Amino acid sequence: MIGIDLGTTNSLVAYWDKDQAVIISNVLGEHLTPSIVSVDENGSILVGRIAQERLITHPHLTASTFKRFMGTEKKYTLGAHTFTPEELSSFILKALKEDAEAHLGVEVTEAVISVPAYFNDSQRKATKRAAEIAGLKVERLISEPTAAAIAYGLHQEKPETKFLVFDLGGGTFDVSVLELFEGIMDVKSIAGDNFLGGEDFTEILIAHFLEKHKLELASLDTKTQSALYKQAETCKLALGQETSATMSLTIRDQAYELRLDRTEYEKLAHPLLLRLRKPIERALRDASLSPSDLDAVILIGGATRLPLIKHVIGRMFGRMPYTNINPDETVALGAAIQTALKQRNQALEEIILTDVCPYTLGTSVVQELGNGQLSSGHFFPIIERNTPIPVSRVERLYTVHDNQKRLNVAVYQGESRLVEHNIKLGELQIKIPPAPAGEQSIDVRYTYDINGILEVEVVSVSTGEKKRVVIEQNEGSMTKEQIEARLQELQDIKIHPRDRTENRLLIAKGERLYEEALGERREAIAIAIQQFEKALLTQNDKEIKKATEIFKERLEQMERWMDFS
Amino acid sequence: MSVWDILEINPTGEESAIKKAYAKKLKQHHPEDDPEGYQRLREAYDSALKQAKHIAATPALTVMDEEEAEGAEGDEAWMWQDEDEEWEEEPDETVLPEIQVHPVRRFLEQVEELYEDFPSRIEPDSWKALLDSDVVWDVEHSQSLQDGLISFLEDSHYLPRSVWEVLDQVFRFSADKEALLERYPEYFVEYILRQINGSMELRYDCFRGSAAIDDVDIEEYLYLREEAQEMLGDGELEEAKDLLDTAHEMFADDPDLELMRSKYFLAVGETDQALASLQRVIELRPDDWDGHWHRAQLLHDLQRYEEALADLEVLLQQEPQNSHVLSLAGRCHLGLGQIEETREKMKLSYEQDNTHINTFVYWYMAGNKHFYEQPPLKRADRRKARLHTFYYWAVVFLRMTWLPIILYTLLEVFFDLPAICNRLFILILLWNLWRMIRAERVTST
Repeated sequence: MIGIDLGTTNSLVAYWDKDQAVIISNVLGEHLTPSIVSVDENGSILVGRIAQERLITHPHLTASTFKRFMGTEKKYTLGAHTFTPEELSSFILKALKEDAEAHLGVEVTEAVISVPAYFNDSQRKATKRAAEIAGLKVERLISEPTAAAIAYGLHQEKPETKFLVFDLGGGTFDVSVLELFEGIMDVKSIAGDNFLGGEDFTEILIAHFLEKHKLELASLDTKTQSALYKQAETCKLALGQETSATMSLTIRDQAYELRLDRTEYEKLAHPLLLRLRKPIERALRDASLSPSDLDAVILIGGATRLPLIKHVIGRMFGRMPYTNINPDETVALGAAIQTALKQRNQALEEIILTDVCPYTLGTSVVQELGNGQLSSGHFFPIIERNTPIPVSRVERLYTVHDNQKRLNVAVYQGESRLVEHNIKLGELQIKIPPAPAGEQSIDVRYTYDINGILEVEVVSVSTGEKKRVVIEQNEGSMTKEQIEARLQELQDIKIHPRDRTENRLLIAKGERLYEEALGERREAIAIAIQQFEKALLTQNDKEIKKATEIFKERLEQMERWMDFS
Repeated sequence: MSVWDILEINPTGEESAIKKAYAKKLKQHHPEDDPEGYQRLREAYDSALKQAKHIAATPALTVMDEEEAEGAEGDEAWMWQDEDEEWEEEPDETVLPEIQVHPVRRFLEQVEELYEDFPSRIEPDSWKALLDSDVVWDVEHSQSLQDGLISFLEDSHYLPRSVWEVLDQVFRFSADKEALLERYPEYFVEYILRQINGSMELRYDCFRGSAAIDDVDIEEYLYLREEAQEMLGDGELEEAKDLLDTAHEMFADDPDLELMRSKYFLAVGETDQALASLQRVIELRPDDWDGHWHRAQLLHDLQRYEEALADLEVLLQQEPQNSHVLSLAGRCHLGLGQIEETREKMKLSYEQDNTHINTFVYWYMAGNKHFYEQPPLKRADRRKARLHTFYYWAVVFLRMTWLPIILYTLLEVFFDLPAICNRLFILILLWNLWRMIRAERVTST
């Protein structure tokens, strides 16, 4: 069994090796596999670093940050193929699975996969389906901060500790408050913002660049857009190291440049930074703790590497965060530890994990306004947010009209008093015998399982008729046969062979440099690529190896020049 | 079974004992294997922790009713007080000789200071700077700071919208109305949100750099201005007039007050006064939207179309695609008998908003034949036209009466009809003729 951190920007895979969790490197020897999928000229799938290079050269054939749209109807068209976010995720999972199999030498069929704590029901289900498409059975969906907490807790000497996990990933922001005592890892509360992440800190740079030069994003072609994105990303990272950085871009032979220092960037990011506060306050309030009760603040997610974020956390908590963990790898390690816990591994002292549900779940009811008038669309909570899970709750609802024949139970998630501001997850109807208003009733039972998946059951009190649904939002539209057929289609898509990944990456990188360069340099790159491709055709291993070395060195050289130009 | 029975311990105020018992039982009711057992245990554990707090606080009482425990826990006022005490206590605890002020209190003093300093108060940048202080970022103090700030604002809330927006960015009022309603009175929550979304905005830029405000009790003036706005909104015209007059005597260079005066004058039918007020609004703020818009409407109603069009031109320069403005401009042209211009404006307006009802009504009016000058027809044409009209009405008449005519003819041929039938037939013909004439009258108007 393996533990997988399926991230917005990067994904990792880890496993439990006798007495510790270990990250498995991918075929390129790297821990991080970019969560990017591309389709090449022959229609086969490329994943990870190669796809990342192709984001610049073939943006219309490449998809990234699709985790943000998990569980939605969004479609990505890449060349001749059209994919849903979960299908794209499945390619990433498949690549990670192959990396693990190559490393372990055995077939891997089960996994613990981490999801943002604030993922809702449909997002969790989509993740589960992605794993199934990739041929992995999900043994457990674990919240990312919880996974990080397990990894952190394993090395804690203090028997009792309370801490906060601040998880700012590429696309989501989660805050969890946890307590570790007597071998129990207890999640006390979760809060978050599903639409705030490291990508937003890149996007403000793009917006700023466009505004300064009076450009419209829509007026740029996709390639220029990707190049701009990369410039912004590099600038963001550079501002973490240096006091100032430059973005430069050539559009229709005209060079645009923008120099930015740290204070200016902080000013731009200020509204985003302010958005970090509310979830923190809410998580602490729900856990009835104050910051001084916390023993540590743990940072996970790549975006927490930004000094900007660290600084602001220091201001919010009046102390510096705990830095002894790697923000990129902790979640995957935690997931791997969870696999060992699930198998009740001997080397591990048992940790029992108790989680909470991140949202309030309820139904829509009609309320009496006192003067006999009825007002509909009120939210009636059944499971309050931050209730420990698994949990099952029943509420009895009554008819409001005489001779009502049916009762409609709509399932909502959210915190507003009116259902129109909450998210509808699904609904079901039940028949009831006609009677005067208020005499007939139903029992509505919500059951929230340990994976964060909701089941709703409705029973008519007088007839005993039962209806039950596992809440599905998007799956309803596809029949079983259609799903089978789609699976077969996906199986038939060629995936670029793993053993040729490095060579393919070098070509992709060469192509990217070719596009970024101009004039003589461009020529030189073109010749280098040609020579390398020729060597590949010889099928002579020795020669290929030699050519690979030369080509690699040349590309690195070129890249260095371009950085200094 | 009481919660203590489930945990298999005696009631205690010690948290650690409860935790230990819970941990022991959790192994039997693992959340993964025994969801129901876990739920029961967990609920007992949470409730025991709550009770423990009270047991520890009141050692005389051994067991407390669960409901009572819940009641005390939900008591917001109690939490507030706790925070208050914290402020009082802190100076005593410190050994340092100088008096240390609680950072939240110091911040609130700074807020008050800024509020007192009127020219700085209306600048969003000064608020931005103050709100970026460490204490605002500190999560430890966030709740008491927000409570303190809101209770300060309840008494001192005359701030421009740009400042409210800065406050909203920091405290995110508009994002979480529910949480606000839990803590603060509803009227004030609504007030804050109105200030943020700008639906009742009163502007402050006229005070910026104005020497006249030095001699004015500005707080009193702002109070009068906002009160007058409310009274006008509620239709309390008498009260509004008093407030407006007093305010106007204090400070006469505020376009928003002038606008309210014009609304008052319009409401009581003093058109000239209203026009004078609107004139003053435009003098004070030449690009003021409301000033030009209301004056254009008024001038249109007074049939002073040329002047109205001049105002609308100003507005169209700001927003060339505003349906309301385009439609009113069209109506002015209509009033001037400029049909082509009317149609052009209405078409533009329709392209922007195809549900704008005024546009429809007056666009079709512009199509009415009375608005067109018709050249005199030649004699031959006139005769032809008359002939066509006659044919037309003949056909219409036949269409209406063909059935009685055929029936009557058939019956007349085959039977010997009594005289009453002849009369009936003529009556039917006359009745249809009358109907036709009536239809002609309707269609020709």
